[in-house]
Amino acid sequence: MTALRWKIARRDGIAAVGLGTAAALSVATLSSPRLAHALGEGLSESVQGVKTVAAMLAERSPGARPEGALASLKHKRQAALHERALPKVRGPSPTEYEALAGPPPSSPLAPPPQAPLYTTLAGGPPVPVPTTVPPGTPGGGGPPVLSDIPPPGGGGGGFAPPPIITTAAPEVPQTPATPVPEPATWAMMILGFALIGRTLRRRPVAIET
Amino acid sequence: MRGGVIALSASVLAAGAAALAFNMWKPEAQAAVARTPAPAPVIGRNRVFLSKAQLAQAIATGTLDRPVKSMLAVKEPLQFGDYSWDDRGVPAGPTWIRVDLKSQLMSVFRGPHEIGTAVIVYGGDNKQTPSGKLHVLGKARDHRSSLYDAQMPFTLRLTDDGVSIHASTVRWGAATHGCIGVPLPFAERLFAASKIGDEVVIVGGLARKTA
Repeated sequence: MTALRWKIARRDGIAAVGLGTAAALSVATLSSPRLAHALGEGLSESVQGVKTVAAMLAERSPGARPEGALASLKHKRQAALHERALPKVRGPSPTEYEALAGPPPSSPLAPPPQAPLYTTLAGGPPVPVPTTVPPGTPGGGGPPVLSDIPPPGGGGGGFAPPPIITTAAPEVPQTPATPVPEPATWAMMILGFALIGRTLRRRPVAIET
Repeated sequence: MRGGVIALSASVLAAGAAALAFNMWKPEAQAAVARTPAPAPVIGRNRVFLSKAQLAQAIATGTLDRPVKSMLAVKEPLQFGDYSWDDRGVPAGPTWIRVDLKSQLMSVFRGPHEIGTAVIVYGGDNKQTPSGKLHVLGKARDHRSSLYDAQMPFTLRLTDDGVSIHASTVRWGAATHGCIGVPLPFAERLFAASKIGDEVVIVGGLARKTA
């Protein structure tokens, strides 16, 4: 009987020791981050050992770059030599009528016209300008009137003629520019007609009652 | 019954003492015996520790070329411009950078631990980013490219012909002229973490021509 009691007490003691150890370790684990990390590190090695490193990288990757959808972020800077030699803005070459009529009147704020560009294009025989035309007005190719110095007088297309022309100017018939619509005007007009026609076609027919 | 209670009390005391000893022993023992500075704080939990099998598999397949202990735990795919940086508790060590062009990712390691990762942009088809094992040749915090007339903050130059890692606009479909572009905050951290001579391993592209 005594032996049986001793056995029961011993079994209770072992169980109590195990229970107490588990309880104390759990409390210590919760209260100590270092111990938790030490345990967690060992645990992670056994639990997370299924995913390869390549799979981890593939999971965070946005994927491979698609072909043909590239856009360069930067553009190579143009050399300064090209910038000087070839101006970016170059107007269209003047037509024959424009050459005869001269450049349009420039506003005082506009930059002076590029005289060298027009020299070769309108450099034919100088077209004299009647003496009634004051210098610097339409027909004149000088710089805009911004200073007190009178600009050089007429000359077709910006060609600065010598002042002799103004004194010995032969009579040249004034040929007004033929009002030929420009392509943009033609396009606008055709578009307008098309719109009118479409509107008329789509207008609902009045229902007779 | 009384014996059980005594044993329970004794075991609780013993386990508590053991836990206390574990907490108190290691730092003090290191400080007293090895005379090293205070131990580094706990490595952040935002990482995955590799098992030996994982590491062996990664080295065998060429994903890694050296022992790595932990990678950052990135829960979801990174978007363009995203990055992750966590070097809390990571002990000092040599910094090295792994760039994967195919997956458009950069991983920054300090010793055997990954401390940062980000989505990158790299060279287009006409100007491809070279692959291979390179080194940081120079650093420039406020670099401005004279060739492309563009700001390139936090530049880490990798080659003599100008291929670098620098801050850039990281967006979908973008490409560079051979450089590796990373988000600006990431570039700043990377610039601070790296030094001249650090190793940069670029994989997934064309092999670099050696003279």
